Amino acid sequence: MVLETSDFRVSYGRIAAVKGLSIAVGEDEAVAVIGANGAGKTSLLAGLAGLVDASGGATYKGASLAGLSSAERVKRGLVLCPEGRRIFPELSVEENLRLGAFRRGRVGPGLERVNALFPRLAERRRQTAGYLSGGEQQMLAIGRALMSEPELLMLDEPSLGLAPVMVDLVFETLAALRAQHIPILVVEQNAAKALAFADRAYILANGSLVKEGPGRELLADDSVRSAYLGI
Amino acid sequence: MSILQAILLGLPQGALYGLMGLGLSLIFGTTGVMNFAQGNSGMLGVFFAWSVLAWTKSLPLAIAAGIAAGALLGVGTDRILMKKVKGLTHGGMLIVTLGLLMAYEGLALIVWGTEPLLFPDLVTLPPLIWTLPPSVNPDGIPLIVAGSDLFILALALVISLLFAAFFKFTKIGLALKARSQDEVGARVVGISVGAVDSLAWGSGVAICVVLGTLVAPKTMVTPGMLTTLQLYGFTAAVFGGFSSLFGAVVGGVILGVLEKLASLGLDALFAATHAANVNSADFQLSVILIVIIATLAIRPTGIFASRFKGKV
Amino acid sequence: MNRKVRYYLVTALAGVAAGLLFSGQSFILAILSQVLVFAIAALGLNLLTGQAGQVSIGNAAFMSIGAFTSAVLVTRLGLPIPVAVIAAAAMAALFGLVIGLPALRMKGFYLAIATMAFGVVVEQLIAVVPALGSHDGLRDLPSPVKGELGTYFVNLAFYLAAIWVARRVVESPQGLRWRMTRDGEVSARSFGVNTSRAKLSAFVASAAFGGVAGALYAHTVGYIRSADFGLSRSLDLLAMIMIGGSGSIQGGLAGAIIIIGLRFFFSRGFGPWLSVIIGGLLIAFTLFFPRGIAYGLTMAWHKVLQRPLNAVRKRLVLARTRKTGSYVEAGGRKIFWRESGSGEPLLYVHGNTGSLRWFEEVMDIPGRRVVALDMPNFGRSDALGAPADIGAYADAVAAFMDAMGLRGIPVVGHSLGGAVVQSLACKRPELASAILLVDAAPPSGLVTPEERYASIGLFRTSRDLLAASLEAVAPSIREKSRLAPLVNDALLMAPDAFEGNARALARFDCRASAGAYRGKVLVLRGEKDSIVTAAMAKETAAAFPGARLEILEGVGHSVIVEDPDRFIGIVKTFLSSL
Repeated sequence: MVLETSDFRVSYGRIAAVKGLSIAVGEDEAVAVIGANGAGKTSLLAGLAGLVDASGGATYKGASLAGLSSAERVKRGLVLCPEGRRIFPELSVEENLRLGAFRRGRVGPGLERVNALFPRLAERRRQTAGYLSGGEQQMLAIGRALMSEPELLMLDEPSLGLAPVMVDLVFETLAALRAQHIPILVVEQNAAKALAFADRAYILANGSLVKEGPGRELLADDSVRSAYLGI
Repeated sequence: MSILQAILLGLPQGALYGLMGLGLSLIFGTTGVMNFAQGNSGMLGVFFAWSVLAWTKSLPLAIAAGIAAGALLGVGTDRILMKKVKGLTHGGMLIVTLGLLMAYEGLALIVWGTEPLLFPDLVTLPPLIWTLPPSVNPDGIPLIVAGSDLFILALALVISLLFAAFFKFTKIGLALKARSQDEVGARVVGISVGAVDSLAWGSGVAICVVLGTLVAPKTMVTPGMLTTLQLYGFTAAVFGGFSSLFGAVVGGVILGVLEKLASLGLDALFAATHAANVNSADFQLSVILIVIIATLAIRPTGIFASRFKGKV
Repeated sequence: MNRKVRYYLVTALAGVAAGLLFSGQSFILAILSQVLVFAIAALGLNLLTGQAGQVSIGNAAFMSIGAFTSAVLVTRLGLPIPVAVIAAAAMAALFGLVIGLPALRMKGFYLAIATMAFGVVVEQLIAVVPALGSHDGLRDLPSPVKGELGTYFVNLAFYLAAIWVARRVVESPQGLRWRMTRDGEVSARSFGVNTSRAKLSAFVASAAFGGVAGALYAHTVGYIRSADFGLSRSLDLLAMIMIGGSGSIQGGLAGAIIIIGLRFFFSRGFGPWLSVIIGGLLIAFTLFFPRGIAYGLTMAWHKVLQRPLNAVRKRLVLARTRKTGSYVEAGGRKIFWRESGSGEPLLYVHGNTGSLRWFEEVMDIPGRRVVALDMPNFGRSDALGAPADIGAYADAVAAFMDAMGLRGIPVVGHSLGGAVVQSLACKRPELASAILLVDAAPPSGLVTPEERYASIGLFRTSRDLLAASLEAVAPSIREKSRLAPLVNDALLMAPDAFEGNARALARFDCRASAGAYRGKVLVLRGEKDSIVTAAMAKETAAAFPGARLEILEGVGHSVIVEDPDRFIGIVKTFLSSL
């Protein structure tokens, strides 16, 4: 298990967003976390990345995450591609990618890899990132995360706000990364795509775990289909 | 006074405004806090430098000590106060820095008393005197740029270039740029936002101390020595949109020149209308401030502002 | 007495008392006058910054404009002071527009800078006008009334008028528009609020208050200089509302007392310490007491200061009402009860914070022996002696009925009492032959959101809040005085039951056993009931086989006190149908 949490909690003042979650991601696994808005998915990742305070147990590569700053977590290969992309709008595409290797990773080989994966980005190397389309910015955000040579890549709603064509591209990219054996933990509102992509999935509601299982099984599960797939 | 002379007077003055604006923009652009205590923070650094000077008689040491003290004050303010202030409304953050403004003024009075203190010129340079040919200068009045003004211009240029280089060529500079553009993005690439913020604060106040030592010979070291300059600094920063350091410096210089030209014009106006007892100096600041209000009304985020920032 | 009238009266009396107390000491009276003047200016700033969310650090400029306008009108044109004050307000209001218009496009820090610039500009420009005294200012300005005491009372009168006006505006739709603009311009606009007009009106109102304050300052102090109204003055005003509390109308007064008071206290040689202290206070309050002193005082009032009064009240109520009923031992506790009439028995069970006095006006049912009790934890009965629980209350009522020999009789339950009665009917159906549920909690329970528990805690110690909540629970009651004894009885409830009952209602769930109850069931709901929804009432009726649901128009949660005659009619009809 590259990541394991036990009774993981994230609270904002009195409001508990994540109420005691125990999940795991294996060394060679793609895990999805789905659920409605407000289910606590983003808070989960934010807590794991060290962006917000969390309590409870969380072990990454065998060591506890408690007390580690977000910078330290990136240094150890726990990388988050955040919700809303959060790229640096006034910097160029290439500068954005270079910053991905700020704490960890080698720029040269990293850029090669990213350019191979996202030829469209390579073309727009010098363009100001703020002018890219939504889909291109998402590619950039994923690329930037890859520059940190992640040993566990977490993605928060990578398909949010994208046209269907771009959504497909995002999941194709994730599949390609999966094929490179990078462990992935992806949070998604697009349940259908996420469940089809992931090896295993967790379903959250109101900050707690409601169901878990192999992606394919959940995809076929009637209760899941009616609640999250609108079928 | 000729227009050229006015411009030559306005440039170094504007450089001061620009440096103040740079410090303010640095802190605001990076951390999102408008430091109303900037001037007084620098002032404390100058007082400290004065004490070190009185104690060691060494000007270089005193300046260095003052800058270090200022940097420490900036970092301290960030670490101790600003971290707690993160979740507050704009009004709240403003009030905290205003509280510091008041407290620092009182502190200076308590420690160093009410008597203005003397501070020496950093360097003594001969003035630049330059007489234009009679075809453009019939009265034969020479153009003069004071030695101290030359120094100010040179220093301002050096500092601006240093900052430009810092942001363009160093990793930390890049980190600062990134953090000012997107805090979450900066965190997820492993930038220590806390450290970067402290750096911005420390440098911002340090620049202000430098500024203080430049004006101290003229204004003397008093608790209120940088209050008016801070006002000008805000106006310079408004021009730059608070996120462009380059804009702040350029804005400041433009402001300085505009101010002197406006003064010239007003003096001529008063002379022509025989308005007695009216000194354009009284109006200088008001003219500038009205320009600021107008600028903010027309382009609320400043003239050189970035298109992408949702700041404020 | 109407709470609002009481509010102004208390303030007025306090002000008058302060004046009389120091009537011989003109120095102190002068300080008090200044406190009031700045409180008015701070109030103006509060409208702009606290209500409408527009941060301003240039409001002293409005004081300046008002001061000089009034001074000039009185000394040069010989206008009477009251007229001059009005003109000062108008002039200042005009300048409110002057800065308010460009300010429309600015927010947050930028707005602060612009208002600061405005303040400095006004200060500078006034200082160059010879007619306004240039840098030296204007002297020997007349006071409205001879003597410091008289001037103080004039200022007091203006202050009272100011808070009256401010309160009315804040509680009006305009105040709501301001707050909506403050809390989210985009949302406000989507609700149809013209945020530009709201912001402008806030500037104008703020300026008017500042102008009045300035004029009063001029005639109180007698000597004004432009420099008196500079940036530090504006910062003082901000500090006043920050420390005093921007959420309260009187916050400015609290802040003014502290700032002006401190200033005079430190004027003898400790000047610099003043800046450090006020600066420190500003920071401390912003970080730790963002709601200011006024809020702290309000909380102190609700949490602590009413306690001695409540204790005395409780004792009086208990003493006075002891003989109005009798005690019976039931379930190991003493239960207080009373009855009226003779015939077949009928039992009334009250609701949360209630007692048998809730049924005082419905005790006369012809041909019936009407019995009402104070459940354990309530009124004059013993404590429950265990954590509050609907089932436990039901057991206690059952024990009471056993002890009284009441069996197979109709039982009426109101609100929480309705839940208790449902529980009773399911546990001991032989005791209740029929049940009448008045605005009762549904069988699935009633959940109170977690955030509310903090205010529930305040009910324990604040009679004021209890009174307000009881008014809400009986919205259509005609004589509010009917509620006074009920509020007093609410004080008698066991302290742990305030939160305990809410939790008990959340846990309550008799859905499983409700279906087995065979007796007749009538479910009543007042259409204005804000606690029990229509859906809940339907749920209750559906849970009990053969239950009937009746909606009552024009009444809220408590028809038994809102319209007792109507309730009696319903009971009679219900009884005759059994």
